[in-house]
Formats: sequence, C-alpha cells, structure tokens
Amino acid sequence: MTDLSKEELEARLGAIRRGPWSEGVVKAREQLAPVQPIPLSWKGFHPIALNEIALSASNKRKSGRLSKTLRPHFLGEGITDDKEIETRDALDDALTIPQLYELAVQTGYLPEDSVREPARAILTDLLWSGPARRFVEAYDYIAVPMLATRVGISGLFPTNPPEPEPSASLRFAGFLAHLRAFYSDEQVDKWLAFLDDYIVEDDEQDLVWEFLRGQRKKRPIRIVELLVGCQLFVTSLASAFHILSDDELGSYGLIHAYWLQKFFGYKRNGKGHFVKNAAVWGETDSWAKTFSTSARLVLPGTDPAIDKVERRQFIDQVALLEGAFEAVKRLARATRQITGRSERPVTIRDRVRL
Amino acid sequence: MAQLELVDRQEDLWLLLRQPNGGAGRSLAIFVHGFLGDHLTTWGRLPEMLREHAASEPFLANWDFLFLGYSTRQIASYLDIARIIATQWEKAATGKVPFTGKYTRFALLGHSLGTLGIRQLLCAAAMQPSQMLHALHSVTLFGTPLNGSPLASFGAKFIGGPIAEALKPGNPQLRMLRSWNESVHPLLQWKGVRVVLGTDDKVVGNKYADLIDFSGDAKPSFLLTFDHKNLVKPKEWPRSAIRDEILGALQ
Repeated sequence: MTDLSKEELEARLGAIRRGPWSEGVVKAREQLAPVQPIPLSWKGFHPIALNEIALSASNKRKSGRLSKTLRPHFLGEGITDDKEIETRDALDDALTIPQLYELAVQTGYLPEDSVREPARAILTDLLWSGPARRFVEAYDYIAVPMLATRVGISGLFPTNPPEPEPSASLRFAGFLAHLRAFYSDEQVDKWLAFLDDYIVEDDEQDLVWEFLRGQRKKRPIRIVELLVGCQLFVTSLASAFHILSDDELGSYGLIHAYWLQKFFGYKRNGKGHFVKNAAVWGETDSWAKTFSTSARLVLPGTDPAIDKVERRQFIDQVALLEGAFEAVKRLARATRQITGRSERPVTIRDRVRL
Repeated sequence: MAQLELVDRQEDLWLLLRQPNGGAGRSLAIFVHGFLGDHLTTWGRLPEMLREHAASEPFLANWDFLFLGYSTRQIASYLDIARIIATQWEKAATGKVPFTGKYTRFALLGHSLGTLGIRQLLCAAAMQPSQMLHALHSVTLFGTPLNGSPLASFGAKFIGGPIAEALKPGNPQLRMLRSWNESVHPLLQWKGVRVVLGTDDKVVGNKYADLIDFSGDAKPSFLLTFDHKNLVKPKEWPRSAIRDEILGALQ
C-alpha cells in the first residue's frame, strides 16, 4: 500500500521512464530483442529465473551474437565496431532505469509495489540472454540484481536488496534532477564524448593535455568548449554528491562510475576491478589532475581574485568527486567479495558461453 | 504535525513540499535557482532540512515550499523567469492543480540569476498575478548580481545561451531592469527586498563597485566566508546563518 496519489506515482515513474536515457531504452529493446518471443510473462508475482529460460535455436544464435557484442571490453582487444558500440551504449542507457527504480525504492521515493511491473518488464526484455546478464555483472550494475531480487527475478548474481529508508526520498529527487540535467546538457555531452575518445582533430587528447600542462602554446580547437564542459561536468556531479550522505555516495556514484573512472585515469583490469590506467596516465596523472593543476584552467584575462576562487572551488569539487569514486570502488569490491565474483575472473570462455 | 509531503514534478522542473492536503489559507515560499543550477541541487540539503524542521520551527509552521526550475539555455531574458514564477504563483493563489487550496501569502527567495527573475516580476506589473504585491510577504535574494557577474564575460556562448549575455557587468538587460525598477518602485512600493551576499562571493562581487543599489532593497547582509555556491547550501540546520536568513524571511 502507498500514500501516494495515482497522479504523483505516475509523475515519479514517468520522470524515471522518460529521461534523456529513453532513446537508449527503445534502441536496446530493439537490438537485444529475442528473435522468437520468450515464453514467459512478467506480469504477476511468480518467480522468474532468467538463467533457466529454455531458448529456441534462433534465440540461442542471437544470444551467441550478443556474447560478442556485449563482451567485457577489458578482456582482450577493445570495442571499436560502431554497431557494437551503439548496442552497448544503448544497453548502458537502458540500465539507468532499473538502477533508478532500485535507488527510488531504497530511498522511499517510490513504493516497491509501484515498480514491480515495469521493473519485471524491462529486466526480462533486456536480460533474457546470458551475455546481457554478464554485462550487468562485469560492469558492476549492482543495483540491477538488487532490483531483480526485489521483484522476484533470479539469474543475476545473488544480492540482498537493502530495506527502504523513506527519509532519503528528497535526496533521490535531487539526484534525479541532477541526472536529467546532466544528460541533457550539450556542453557536458561534448566533454563526455571527449573522455570517451570522440575527437575532432588528430591527437586532440594529447594536444589538450600538452596545452593544459603548458607544453604547447597553440590552443587546441575546442579548448574553451572542453574547459567549459569539464567544469560543468565537475560542478554538476559535485552538486549531486554534495546532497548525499557518505553511505550513499557509492550506490549513487555507481551510476557515474564509467565517467569517474575516465576522469581519474582508471580502467578495469582482467577481473573487472578498477585499476589505475598506468599505460596512459602513469601512476598519478589523470584528467582530474591535469585540469586541477593547470595554469590554464581559468580563462585568460580573468580577475586574479576570481581566478583564485574558481580554482579553489574546482579543486574542492574534484576532491568530492574523488571521494565518490573511492566509495564506488569500495562498494564494487565489497559486492564482488560478497557474491564471490572476485574469485572468478571473467574469462574468455564467458564470451562464448550462451 | 505530519511531515510535509513531497510533490515532485521532475518533468516540469518543480518540487513542492506541502502539508498533506494543505494549501487553503497557508503560505507558500517559492525558491528560484540561478544560472545553470537545477531546482533542487542548487539548494543543497535545504529542501531536506526544511522538510525535517518545518514542524518544529514556529515561524515555518504555516509555510509550504516550492522549488522552481527552468532550463538556463532556454531562457532569453529575465522576463522568461518572471513568467515561470508568475504562472506557479497564479495557480497557487487560485488553488489550481497541483495545489489543493488557495494560498494567501507568498515569499520569494532566489539565488543568483533567479534573483533577477524575481526583480523582473516585481517590476512587470502587467505580468503579476492578481493582488500579488498585497500577498507578498517578503523577498530574499541570495548572491544577487547587482552589477552582473565578471565571470559571465568568458565562454558565454558555450556556457549558458543567450541569458549568459544578460549576466555580464553593465549589460543592456540589467541596465534596463534597474531603470525599470527605479521607475516603478515608487508606484508599486513592494516590501523591502532582503539582499544576502557572501563575503567570499567573487562570482557576483562584493566590492563597492559591485554593490549598485536597487530601489526597495534593504541594506545587504553579508554572510562571512560564504561563496556564491555555498551561500544557499546550509551544512546544518540549528546553527546555520542560512537558516537565520530564511527564518527572517518567513517570520
């Protein structure tokens, strides 16, 4: 039972369902759809074991194709095929919804009953195949198996969803407001694309790094846009993390784990753990450090007093992001230990297992 | 007293904290965020603190709280922000959905660019809801760019769309607003505007040259060691200078 009116419930569910990630949901549902309908109904309360679904021959073949598309990128060569990237990005976007459902329930923003049907629908649509479920496991979408357990779905790594803490609903609302704005902001988007290696001139990342380090005088073409995008990225994340308690930083931060990892110069090793990307950054460098320590962080001509304040604020905000990333790493590590996943590194065999 | 209930309309960019089934005869404090903020995180934990403490603070007992938002890049002038405030005010004063009763008293609280939208609404009589100034209890402006912001001079076209131009020091929109304010205030005589500035706020400045008077403003109060962003983000409730300012606005 819930005290929320039907209108309020619908508005809250809609805000999660219809975010900037909606396009990814449609695309993921299309691209991950089984060839033949899966003989199960997500309606009702009956348990659903995703790993026990009997797949038809054509669905097995589809699952086989997905095992290549959705392979953990940290095993072997990276992902460079545009079509594969598109599908993976779509699934990543789509998984925002079950993550938000779970956080919404944990914080009392939404009652558990209200997410049961939509959660069962999206989880079965997206995760009927083994490769999609392994994608969830490999990339630490910890909230997804929690939600699955909550709504009677098994087949993902076992985990116990925490009891809802209703007093945290406003913090969830704040985070949701941030997330919707974050993924709607074109300047942040340009910065995220840059972090993700989308560049507009040869060696742009090297040029930007050299410019910020004072090793190059000529400005890279997009330097102002990237400075602005980076600062908006940092400010937006810091505003969101600021309202959270220390205990919440990990679970909320996981939604931004990919970008935090890139920003702080990390990658995943063969076990899927976050480790410093020493080959690119050495042991201490990163975009976070490069921007924070650059004399060119603040645009030329800025009043020295403003320069000083802006720089200090940026550094403080980056420190908050770093704290959140530490919490993310701790939570991912702890969850892997509890579920025993750290003892079983993701292997090449996983890539071909249906 | 029951905890304030949360009415959240993320897609419409507002959140209301209200007494369950309340509204009729109650008071509504409207919070308006600044440049590139959003309707909730701009205020840090303030919404949560208000929800937690409203019942135990006598001055807050009759107030509900509306956190209002807008997409900065879709704002061309202060008038656009003023219109958003006026629309919600009108609905609240007439008890239209989402409000469940007619509010009779209002307070406006803004941060940064949001304060200019509030100033604009005070001046633009044709835009004001019926009896607006009569129902206006107080106006509180945190970190208001009295003379624009030097920061707006840089990267404006990338940062915030057309409204970034309207934050530059001495820009035409701001000069027009000030002139409009000076012309209209003697006639409309709205309640004294409380200006709250941070001593470490370099975004809007706090030097003499930055502190251009607007008619109707009370003498600014300065919060020590607060910068532009943390000026509206209380760290705690009981011993917070921000709490004192809010209680001062709503008592």
